[in-house]
Amino acid sequence: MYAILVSIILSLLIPIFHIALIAIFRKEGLHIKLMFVAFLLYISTDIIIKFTYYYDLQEFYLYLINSISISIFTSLFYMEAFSMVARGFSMRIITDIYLNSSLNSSGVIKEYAGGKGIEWMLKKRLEGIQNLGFISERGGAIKISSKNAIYIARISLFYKSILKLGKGG
Amino acid sequence: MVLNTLATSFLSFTIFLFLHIVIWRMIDGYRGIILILITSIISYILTNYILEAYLLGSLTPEIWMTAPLFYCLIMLYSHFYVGVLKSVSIRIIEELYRAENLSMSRDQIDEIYSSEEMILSRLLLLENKEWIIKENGKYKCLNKAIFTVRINLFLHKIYRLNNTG
Repeated sequence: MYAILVSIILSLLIPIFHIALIAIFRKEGLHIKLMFVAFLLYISTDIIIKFTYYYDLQEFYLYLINSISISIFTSLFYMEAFSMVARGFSMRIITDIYLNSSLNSSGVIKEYAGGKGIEWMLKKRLEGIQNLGFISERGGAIKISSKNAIYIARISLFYKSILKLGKGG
Repeated sequence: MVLNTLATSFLSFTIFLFLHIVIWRMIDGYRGIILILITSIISYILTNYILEAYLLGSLTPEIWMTAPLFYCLIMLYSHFYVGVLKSVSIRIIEELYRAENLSMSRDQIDEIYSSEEMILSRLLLLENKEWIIKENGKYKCLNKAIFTVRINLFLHKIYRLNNTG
């Protein structure tokens, strides 16, 4: 029980490590990589503490499984929270409405991401999947360029049909 | 004991997946992460009750031993679920997969998955969830949105985030 509490309390180190690393490196575009470094530092700290204090106990491996589970859980929770702050679509919409006091729907499209516009977001997403090698753009045509993208599309469409999720996105 | 713990967690997760599919096929409309959480709690309690009452008895592992792994699996699954449900990138890949020659022009993508559709569906969701209100054709933030945005802007400063969205 205490081993779990230790892992939960230690998870507070994730934002501390992450913010400290961002302040040290001060480079745009490194946020995601530094977040994974913060996860690694947190998980390492947690495991070292478990080896130091619980290694002699009979249920050590149970404590270790629980610690790793808690570490993954809190890391994923943090990843989701950070993603919402950094990339959240709905979050950005309400932020733009707040910064402009009020907006109509065409104003939301135009003012998206502090005036960059919704086209910027779509372009950013396309560049993201292009950089992953899933699609390529040639002569104005965007095309699937890897088998992995086909597998992703098949799995995603099948999953959405099973759960009746609609088109999504 | 380790085996019992692992088996209980994975069995709870399997029952969760089964309930999840049944519930999702029965209920229409938006089904978010809260419903996943409720389903997970029900399946976890149900599994532990069945194990303790009919199968393992006093050998059933305690909650603190099985809950971390079970909720780790739920968290992994929730990421997958939200990723597939909400990801703009996955939706684009799906549309390309459905297209002839797995290819589309930028205009065709805009036609099928228009920026207006993206924004309007989110605005409708935010309005239904009472984050924003529409007055005289213009959207305004309600109190919980104002509070969240202020925290968000503070976090932008702390994390030195310039290009969000």
